[in-house]
Amino acid sequence: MNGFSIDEIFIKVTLVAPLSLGFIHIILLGLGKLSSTINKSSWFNALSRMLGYLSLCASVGLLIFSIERVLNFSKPFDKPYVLITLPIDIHIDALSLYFVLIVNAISLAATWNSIHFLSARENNGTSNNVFQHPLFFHGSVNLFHFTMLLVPVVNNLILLWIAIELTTVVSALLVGYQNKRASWEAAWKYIIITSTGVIFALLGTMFLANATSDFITRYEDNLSEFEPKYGQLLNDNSVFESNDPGKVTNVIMNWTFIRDLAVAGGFDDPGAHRFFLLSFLFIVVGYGTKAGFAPMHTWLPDGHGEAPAPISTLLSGVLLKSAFYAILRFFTLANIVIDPQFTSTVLLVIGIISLLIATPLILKPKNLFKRVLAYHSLEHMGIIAFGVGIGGLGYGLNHHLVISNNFGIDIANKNLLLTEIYLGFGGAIAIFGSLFHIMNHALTKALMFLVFGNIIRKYGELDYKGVLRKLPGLGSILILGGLTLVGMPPFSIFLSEFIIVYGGLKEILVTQKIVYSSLMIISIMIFFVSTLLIFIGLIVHLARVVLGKQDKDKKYVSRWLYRFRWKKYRKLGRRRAYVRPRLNFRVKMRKPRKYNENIPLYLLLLFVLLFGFGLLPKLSLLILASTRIVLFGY
Amino acid sequence: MEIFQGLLIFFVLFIENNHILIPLEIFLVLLTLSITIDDDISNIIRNYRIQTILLLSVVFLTAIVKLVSESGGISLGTSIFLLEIFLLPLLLFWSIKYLLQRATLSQNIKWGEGKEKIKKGFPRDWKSFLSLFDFLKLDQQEVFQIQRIWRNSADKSNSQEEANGKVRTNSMRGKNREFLPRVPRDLFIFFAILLLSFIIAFYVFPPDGAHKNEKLEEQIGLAVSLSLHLAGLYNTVTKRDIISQVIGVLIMDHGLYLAVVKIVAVPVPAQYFVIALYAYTFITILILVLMIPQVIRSVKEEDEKQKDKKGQPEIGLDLIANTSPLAEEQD
Repeated sequence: MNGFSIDEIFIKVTLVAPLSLGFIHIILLGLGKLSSTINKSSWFNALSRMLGYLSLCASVGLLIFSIERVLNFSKPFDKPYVLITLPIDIHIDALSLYFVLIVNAISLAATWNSIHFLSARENNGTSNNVFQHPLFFHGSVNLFHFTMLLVPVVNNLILLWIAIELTTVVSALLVGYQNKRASWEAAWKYIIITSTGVIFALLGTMFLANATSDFITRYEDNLSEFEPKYGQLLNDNSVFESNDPGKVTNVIMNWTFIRDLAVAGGFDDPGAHRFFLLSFLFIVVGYGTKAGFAPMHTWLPDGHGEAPAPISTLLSGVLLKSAFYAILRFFTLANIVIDPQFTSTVLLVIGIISLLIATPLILKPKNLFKRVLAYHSLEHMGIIAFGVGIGGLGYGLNHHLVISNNFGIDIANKNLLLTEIYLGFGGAIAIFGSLFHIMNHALTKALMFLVFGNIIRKYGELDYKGVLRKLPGLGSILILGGLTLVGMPPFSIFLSEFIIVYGGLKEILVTQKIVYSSLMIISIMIFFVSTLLIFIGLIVHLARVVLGKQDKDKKYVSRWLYRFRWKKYRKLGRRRAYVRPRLNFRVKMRKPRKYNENIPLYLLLLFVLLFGFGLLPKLSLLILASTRIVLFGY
Repeated sequence: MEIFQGLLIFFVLFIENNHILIPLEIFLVLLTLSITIDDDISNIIRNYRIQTILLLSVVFLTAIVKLVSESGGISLGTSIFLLEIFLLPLLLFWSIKYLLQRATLSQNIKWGEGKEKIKKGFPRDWKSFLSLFDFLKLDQQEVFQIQRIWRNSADKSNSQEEANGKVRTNSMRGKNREFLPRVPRDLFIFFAILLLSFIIAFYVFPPDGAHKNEKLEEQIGLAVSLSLHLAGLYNTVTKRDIISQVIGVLIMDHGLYLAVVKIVAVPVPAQYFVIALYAYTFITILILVLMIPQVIRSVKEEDEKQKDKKGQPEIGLDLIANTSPLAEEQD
């Protein structure tokens, strides 16, 4: 197709579609505000609704395209682009594609729900505030979608930081969308904490930049010694400008170049080790704040609790994972250069601390349910870090056993990972489980926030007890989603947690260093105790929501309380056959049910159940390839 | 051109041999200390603006020294890099006070006045063109109102603390627990931050006997930038009013700005970090312009609603919303 490969088309469509839709929404909003047609003109309102549906169609298209790429993925794709004068190098490998798939899936669910969320708000009256207009909401959601898609596809680590920072900007105004004091304070807390945290990540990236610049300086000073070893690598990556050989390009901050250089031994000196070590620590603190790790998690409960349901879905489902993606990229580089035991221990400890802090917060009985869901995000991000930590630690300690047993396998062989899993080496298994858990948590959290958002919308207030009685369909989905969240079989989260623990236990059995095996044993014990307590905590909260009793003077009449009159049906037809019985308490009419409102919930529930029995083959291979990238870089 | 290059090299040698930048960096740290221990928002903003100009001098001189030492001179590409470095602190210095005043006022800008003027006819000279933007200016009454809000915020944040000469710690530790008086506490933590920064800097650039003097500039530069960074974080976390929290974020920005020119090679990849910092500063300005007025307006609206309900004025929180990052989580 005019010389474009399918991968190039995929990149362009994936990035351009949500970006252009976002700008169209914002520009139209601006024009509407300038011409004062906002909320006054019916065609303007119709146009804004139509654009919402267009965003939904775009999300569907992007998801289908991502699935097609996953099914036909064969090798990584690299392409340099230039935006005005800024070079943007794109790199898509299995790990990137996996995250792109998750982002598109969750964004579709959120966009679908946004349409109903906004129409319900419209029924309650319109506001003249530009930040509360549906066009602003849809535009910001599209831009948010774009920034989260940018994170896994950029190669340059500085652009990665910029993309993550942009997600903060776009999402902060959405957190305050409800226009209440609590919402704006939550948005303020969110943007201040994540911005201050992410700036640590920039400092970490700077230390890495110093390490690579140091190498270039040593290369130029010792050309005769370094050129035979690294000259080809530098030429292949176009590190020096063709016009001016003394000038370096932006390629030196590309992840692929740093990885190749690290594997080739370019950072084998104490100075570089120090920079990588500090860089990794600052990165974990910086991006860890965005990923919601404890003790930097204080923005999580307010941000997720006060945001509208579709936004909470995006924040919890994909934003946290995008930040963790950045940590994974630096984890891979740091593992190659410095001791993988150190980097994995850091992640393991962070994961355990997050679990320990999440447990009492979830057990607190009087917490609002949405805040409880936010604390579950803290718990599950802790589990993900725990999985990568214990897997990386085990792999770092014990992978020599594979080599020393001489199975005739080349270390760089792509089948090494499969062989490790076949042989039962747990490090790789635990990391596989962790990556699988990322997807499971994203789907489950999306399900929970969306179903809870629908419940709140139907109730119209925060006193939402007795959901199973009043709204049996949504109540059932809430129960099933809650059981998934706490890791009950046969749901997907149980399977991923099982894989993580299985991998960890396998490594403990073969680890010979007492200190590390003790650390791993203690970690797994904490994991078991925390998950058990969290199970009890969520069951209590769920029981309160689905079975509790509401205040007597505010009750909603469910359809089960309507009486059906056969005679009236025969005479007048279906419309007049139902009658509301006389009740002693005040009732509030429910709004007409929209049948397509719950479709994303059913689909999410289906996948959450499906993945509890196993992965689809292509998806399994994708996660396997992603595990290999996390461990080796290739 | 050769004379210019010669003068440049002489200037760079003068700066390097006499360690001109080190006292300037120390002064940056002292200004950060004064911002940390001060509560008066006007003083904080003034000290921040002085720090911005000082930072501008330090980063500009550092960039010139590095460019001449590493590249042998300044070309067109590197001039653009110098301009980028120069522009950001200058813009902050020029605009920050106005933006903070606007954010405090939290009233909508009167765009209508500008539209009315344009409808009368497009201006034909510079004075008329500039007068189109008069609606952006603050009048005397608004300035007095802002000064009063800033003074009240400083008083309120201290009233509970200084009533008994004791400090109420942050809410995570309990509201009635005594700790240290505020100023000594801030001084103690500031010097701890300084010590930690120097430890990290000496770890990253260990003193090497052969190249001791060359390393000194890098060590002190990194230590200063880390201390600005951490002190800014401390300000953001502990200050209760929104304006001081934003100043804390901007001080962190300063620390990073200094780190870019001190530890990263110029012009590449330092140029990309400068672009990243422009993006970060843009985000901070966006917070000021868009979010602070919304936060303050929502606080005032809620106070008025409660006042209507109860008939008594609640404590108007103005700038002190429950926005501290360490604030107790509300259920």
